[in-house]
Amino acid sequence: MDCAGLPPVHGADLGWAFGCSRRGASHLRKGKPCQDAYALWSGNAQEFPHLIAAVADGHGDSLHDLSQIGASLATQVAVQELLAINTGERKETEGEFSRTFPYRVTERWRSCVEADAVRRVGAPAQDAEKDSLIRRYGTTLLAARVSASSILLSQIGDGDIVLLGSDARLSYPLATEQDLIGLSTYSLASRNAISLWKTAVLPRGGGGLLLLASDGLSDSFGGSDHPEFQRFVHSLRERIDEYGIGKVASSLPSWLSQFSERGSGDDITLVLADILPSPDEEETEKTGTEDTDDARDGTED
Amino acid sequence: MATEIPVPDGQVTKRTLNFFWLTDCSASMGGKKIATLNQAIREALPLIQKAVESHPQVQIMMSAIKFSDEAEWHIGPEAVPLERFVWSELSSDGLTATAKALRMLGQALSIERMPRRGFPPVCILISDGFSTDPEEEYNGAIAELNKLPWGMKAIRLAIALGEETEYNEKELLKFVNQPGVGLLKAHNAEELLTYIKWASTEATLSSSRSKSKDLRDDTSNVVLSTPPPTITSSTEPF
Repeated sequence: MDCAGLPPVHGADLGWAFGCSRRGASHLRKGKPCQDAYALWSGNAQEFPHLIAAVADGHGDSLHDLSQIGASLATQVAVQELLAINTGERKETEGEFSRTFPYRVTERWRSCVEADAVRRVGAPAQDAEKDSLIRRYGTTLLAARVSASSILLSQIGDGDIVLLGSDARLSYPLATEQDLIGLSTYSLASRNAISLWKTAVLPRGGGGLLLLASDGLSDSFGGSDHPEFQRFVHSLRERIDEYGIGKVASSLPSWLSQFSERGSGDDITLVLADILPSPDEEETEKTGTEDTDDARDGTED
Repeated sequence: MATEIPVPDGQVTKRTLNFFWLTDCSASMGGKKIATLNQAIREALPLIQKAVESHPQVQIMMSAIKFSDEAEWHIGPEAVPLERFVWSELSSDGLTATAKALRMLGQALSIERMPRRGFPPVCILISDGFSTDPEEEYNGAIAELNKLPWGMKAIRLAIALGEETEYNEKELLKFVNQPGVGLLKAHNAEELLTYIKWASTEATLSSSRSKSKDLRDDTSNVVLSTPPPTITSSTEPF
């Protein structure tokens, strides 16, 4: 997928989200397709608003020659599974998310891949062949769901989920795997994929700017923990505040192409969700402000 | 006219490929050996630059460790971008502290000192003799390298100079992690020039075009092609 930036989606009372995938500079030079994918969903499920985003980065070399399809399937599966939590046919609680989501997505993705593979190359004769066939679709996956009170996050493989809070504090809700160096990554195609997921459930609280990005982005700034990447995230917030989400969304394709050209050379996908504070938090903030004012008054007295 | 939005801040950088030369400067390297080594590395630099022209997403950072009685940075510890890297003349004297040089390399390859998202480092060891450090120290340094994540991922090659009885083949082979390449044996100046150029360009290229992703459960490393044949017109040994 190489989109010029689809229009932002609006989740009633939750905020805005938009995203973009760009073919990497090195992919352009080699005539390779973009092997990233993303999906956004916004709407009501069981009368409650949800904002869902997913980003996937297909591994891309000759061993993973169908990885752009694997990435696209992964984002679709993630959206469907996130939507099903606590809504529709499955009354799953958010507390169960960490335990069940990795299993459900991995299994469903593998089923989708197998079905796709049967259509393309016929059914594999043996399990070993099945493994290498699935490997051809190998991809990472990052997914998030914003609802009235919570933010669910999940990730397998490299890439970044970053939250810039309304207090301008930048956080990485999912810990970085220190054993992943160089271009190593975990994958939905890994044999033990279910155990390689990271998940988090956060209160929506004061909201903030949530980024889901393939590794091509932070690799263009020296890595996700590099100060230059953090500077980029803060600056992005400033651009949104100054110019508005629509203008930033329309500039994003050109920015990402520039980063890839001058930086990592890799495909880059970035999904941004500008999350509004939850009404409870706004109420608390109001109360908090009043309390602070009271306290200040008290000190002055 | 639509307002042009400034690109967000943040310095855009390329992915790093760290390249380490480990050069023997012991007394036995004197004369033609050290002169050829200096010349070969100088001549290799533009070849490496040319080889990676088709991989503009790679920033090669170069450094060099020299060893004789002790091991020390010849260029480093701060690595220098290839385009600004200038090889300064090495001279020879003293013993062969190979193990100490390998320990220095190990420190440089630690997770804290390497970019987490870089390309596999390239390490080329060039020596003409037996390590004068105790065997346990040498084996310990190799074991340390083999344990380090970047030590394992690195492309490690060794070039031996002179007659086969004059250097410790087994010892140097412990450093090499490219079984298909083995120890590169330079019997004369022409072979040394050939091997230094081949090893440095081939290893850099292989690292730069290493698979776009390798799965964590796939432990295979970058594998180099076979080295060039050692037939040379020169009959004059070192």
